[in-house]
Amino acid sequence: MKLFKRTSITLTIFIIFVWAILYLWVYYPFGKVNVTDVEKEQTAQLLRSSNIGFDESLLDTPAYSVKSADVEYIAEDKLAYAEKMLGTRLTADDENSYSFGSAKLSFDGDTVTIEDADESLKGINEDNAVSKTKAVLESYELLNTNMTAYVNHDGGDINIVFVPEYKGKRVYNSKIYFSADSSGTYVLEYVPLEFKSNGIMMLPKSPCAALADFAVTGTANGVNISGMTLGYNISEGTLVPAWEIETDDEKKFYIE
Amino acid sequence: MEIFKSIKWKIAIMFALCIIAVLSVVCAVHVVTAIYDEKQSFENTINGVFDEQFTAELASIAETVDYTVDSADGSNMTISTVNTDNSKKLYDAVWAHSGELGINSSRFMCVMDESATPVYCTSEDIIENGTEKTASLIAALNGNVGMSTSLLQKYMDFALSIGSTKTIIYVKDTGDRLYGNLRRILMLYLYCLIGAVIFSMFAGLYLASSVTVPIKKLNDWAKQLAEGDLKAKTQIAGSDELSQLANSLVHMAHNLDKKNTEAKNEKTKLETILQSMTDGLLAFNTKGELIHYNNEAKILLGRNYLDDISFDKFFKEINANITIGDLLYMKHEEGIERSVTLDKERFVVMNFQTFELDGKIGGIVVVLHDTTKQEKLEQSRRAFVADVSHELRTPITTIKSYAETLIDSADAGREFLIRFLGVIASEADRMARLISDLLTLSALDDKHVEYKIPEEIDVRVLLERVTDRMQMGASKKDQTLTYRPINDVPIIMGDPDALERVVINIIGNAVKYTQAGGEIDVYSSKVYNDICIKVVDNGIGIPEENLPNIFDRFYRVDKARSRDTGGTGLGLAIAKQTIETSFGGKIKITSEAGKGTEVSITIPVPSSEK
Repeated sequence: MKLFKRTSITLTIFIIFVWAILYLWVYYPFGKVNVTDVEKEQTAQLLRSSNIGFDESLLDTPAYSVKSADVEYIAEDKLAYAEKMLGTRLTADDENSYSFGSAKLSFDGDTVTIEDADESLKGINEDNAVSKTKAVLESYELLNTNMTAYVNHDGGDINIVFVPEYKGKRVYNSKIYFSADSSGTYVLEYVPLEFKSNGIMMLPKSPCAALADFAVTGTANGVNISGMTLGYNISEGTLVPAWEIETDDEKKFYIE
Repeated sequence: MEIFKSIKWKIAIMFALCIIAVLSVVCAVHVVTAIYDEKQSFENTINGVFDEQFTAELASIAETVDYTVDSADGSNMTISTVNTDNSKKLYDAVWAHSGELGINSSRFMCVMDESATPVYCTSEDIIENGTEKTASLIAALNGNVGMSTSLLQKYMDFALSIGSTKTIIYVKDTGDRLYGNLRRILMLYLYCLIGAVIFSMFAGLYLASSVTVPIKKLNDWAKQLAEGDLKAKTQIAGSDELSQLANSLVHMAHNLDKKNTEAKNEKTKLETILQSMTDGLLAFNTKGELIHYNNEAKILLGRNYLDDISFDKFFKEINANITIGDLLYMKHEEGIERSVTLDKERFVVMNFQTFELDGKIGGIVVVLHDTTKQEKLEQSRRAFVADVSHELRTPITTIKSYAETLIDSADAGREFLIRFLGVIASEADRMARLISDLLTLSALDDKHVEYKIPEEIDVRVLLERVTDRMQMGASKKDQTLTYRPINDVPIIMGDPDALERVVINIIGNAVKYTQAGGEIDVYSSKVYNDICIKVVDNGIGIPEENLPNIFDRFYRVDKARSRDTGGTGLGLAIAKQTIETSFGGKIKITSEAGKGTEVSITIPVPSSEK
C-alpha cells in the first residue's frame, strides 16, 4: 500500500512537473527575465560609449513577469460621472461643466477637473499636505490605497502628484494632480480610469534592453542614472510593463 | 480512498500513470528537441549565410557608399538620405539570401542605423514600433556581432554591425511559428494523453483481472481456512506464480490439517492424563490467572468452581505462604514445595514449578498431592506405639511393684506370697495375651496368617458349641444366653478356630457389658448369598460418639473398666481384621447407650458352597 501510494504520488508529481514546465515554456512568459553576462557587458559598453554614468548593479535589477490589466475610461457618461462625484442635485452648466454649490466639475477631453474649497485644507503646508489631501481624495472615492505622492511647493500653492499603483507597481502615466492654497481652495485634475485584470502575464524588457533603449535615445548623453524601477505604463488601453529610469538631475524616463 | 484498497484499481492506476509519465517524457523530449533543432538550425543558417566572404561583401557595400551627393539644385543632400540608400543596398544584398535565412512571418530581417532604429525591414510592424534591444542588438550597437540562440528564450536573433557607419544587419526569429507549432504538438499530446488514460485504464483493469480474479479466489479460500475449514479446496488454472502459490497453500493446508489433528489428539491424550491423575494440577499464567486445572484439583481443594481464582490471593487464603513473584523472579530449578492443611483434616503437599514458553517463563504449574492417608497412618502409627507402650508398661509396673514388695517382705506369710505372686502371674498372663493379640494383629495386617488347610465350617454347630461353652459365664451374672438359628446356613470353608475366636470375643464382650439378668441372643441366618451371624444384647450399649472408633486398636469406651475386665483393647480390632482378611466378610456394630448393642457378621458364601 505504501509502495503504491509513494509510487503513484511520485509519478503524479513528476507528470505535473513535466507538464507545468512544458506549459510555462511553450505558453506562458512567466518567471524572471534572464540577463546573460554577455548582455550585461555589451550594455555596460554601450552606456559607457554613450557617456552615461551608471552603477553596474543596475544591470542586475530583477525583472519578473507582471500581471497585465485592461484600462477602462469610466466617465463616458459625463453627467453620471459628475453626479457620482458632486451628487445628483448638481447643476449642468453645459455638456462639459457641472456645479453644485462651490464645487465645479469640468471635462477637457478625457481629463476631469474638480475645483472646490475645503475647510480642512486651510493652513495646508508641505508637512500635512499628503494626509489632508488624501481625505479629500477619499471623499471622491479616488483614493487608491497604494498611491505614491510627490509634494511640490510652488509659491503659495501646494502641488501634489499622486501616482496610483496596480498590483504593487506604479502606473507611471496615470496621475492625479492636486493643487491647493492656504485658503482651502483646491483643484483636482485627473483622467478617471479603472484597471481590470485580464489574466495576462507580461514579461518586461530586461533591464539591459531598457538601458540600451535609454542609451540610444540620444537625449541621455552625459547623464548619470540614479535608479530604475519596474512599473506600468498605459498603452493602447492596457497596462504594460515599463521601466522608470531616474537620473541624477531628477529627470524620469520611461521605457516600455 | 476506497479505490486504493483494490489491487485491480491499483494496477490500472499504476498502468495509466506509467503510460502518462512515458508519454509526458516523450512529449518533453519532442519539445526540447524541436526547440534545440530550431535554434541549431538558425545558428547554422546564420553562420552559413554570413560567412567571411558575405560579411566582407556587405562591408564593401557599406564602405563604398558615397556620403555626399550633389543634388540637382546644387545643394548637398543630407547624410540620412545617403544612409538610406546605403541601407537599401545592404538590405537588397541580404534579401538575396532571404530564402536561405528562412524569412517568414515570424522571422524578419532589418537593416538598422547606428542607433538600432530599423530603416529597412521585412516586417512593417518593426519599422513602425521598433524592436527590443536584445543582447545581440546591444552587441551590434557596440560595433560587435551578436547572436542569441539560448534555449531559455523564445526568440533567436543575430545582429551584425557593418563597417564604420555602424549600420546594423539584424535577423530575428520571434519564435512565434516555432512556439505555435509546439503548442499544437502539446495539444496533440494532450489529446493522446486523454486517449491513453482511457485506454490504459481499461487495459489496466483487464490485465489486473488476470491477477485479481485468482487472488480473490485465493482470498475466499483463505477465509474458509481461517474459519477452520482446513479441508476446503481451491483450484487456480495455469502454471504461473499464483497457481504455484495456490498449490503450495493447498499443501500447507493439508499439512496444517494433519498437524491440527495430531495436536488435537495430543491435547485429548494430555487432557485425559491430566484428568485421570490422582494428583491435582493447577496451571497459572505469569499474571497469576488460572489457565488450566483437572478435576482432582477441585476435589482436593474442595471447590466446585476454580476459574476465578488468582495465584497470590488463593495461596494466601490457604496459607501456602508463596507469591507468584517468588517463582517468577527467583530461580528454583527444583521447584518449591509447600504443605498445607485444608479444613483441618486434609493434608496436601503442593509442588510449584515454572514452565517455559518461547524461551521465557510462561507460567506456573502446581501439583497437589493428597497426603491425608499417609499423614493419618503416621498419626495412628504414633498412637499405636504409644498405646502399646502404655499397655505393656501397666502390667510391667504392677509386676515390678509387687516383686519389689515381695523382696522387701521376704518374711511375709504364705497367704500374702500367694496373693502377690497371683497378681504377678495375672499381669504376666495379661502381657502374654497382649503380645499374642499384637502378634495376631500383626500377622493379619501383613496377611501372614499361618497357612491352614481350609476346613468345612458348620456355622450353626460352631455357634451352638460356643454358646454352650459361654453359658457358664453368663449364668454367673444371671444372664440369658440363647442361640436362635433363623434358617439353614450352608457349610463354608475356612479356619473354624479363627471364626470361633471372633464369636467368643463378641459374645464375651456382650456378657461383660450386659448387666446381671440381661439377655444375650445369638442369631444365624442366610440372607441372599451371605451368612449372617448376629449377637444382640440389652446391655449398657455404646455411646454414639464412640461407635466410629470402636474397631480401633486399644480403643476403649470406658478405659478403666475395660482394663479391669482383663481386655487388651485389641479384641474387636482382631475380630474385624479376621472377618475381613480370612473370610472376606464384614463386621458391623450398632448400639444405643443404655439399650443394648447389636454386632453383625456377614460372610459371603462362594457360589460353589451355596
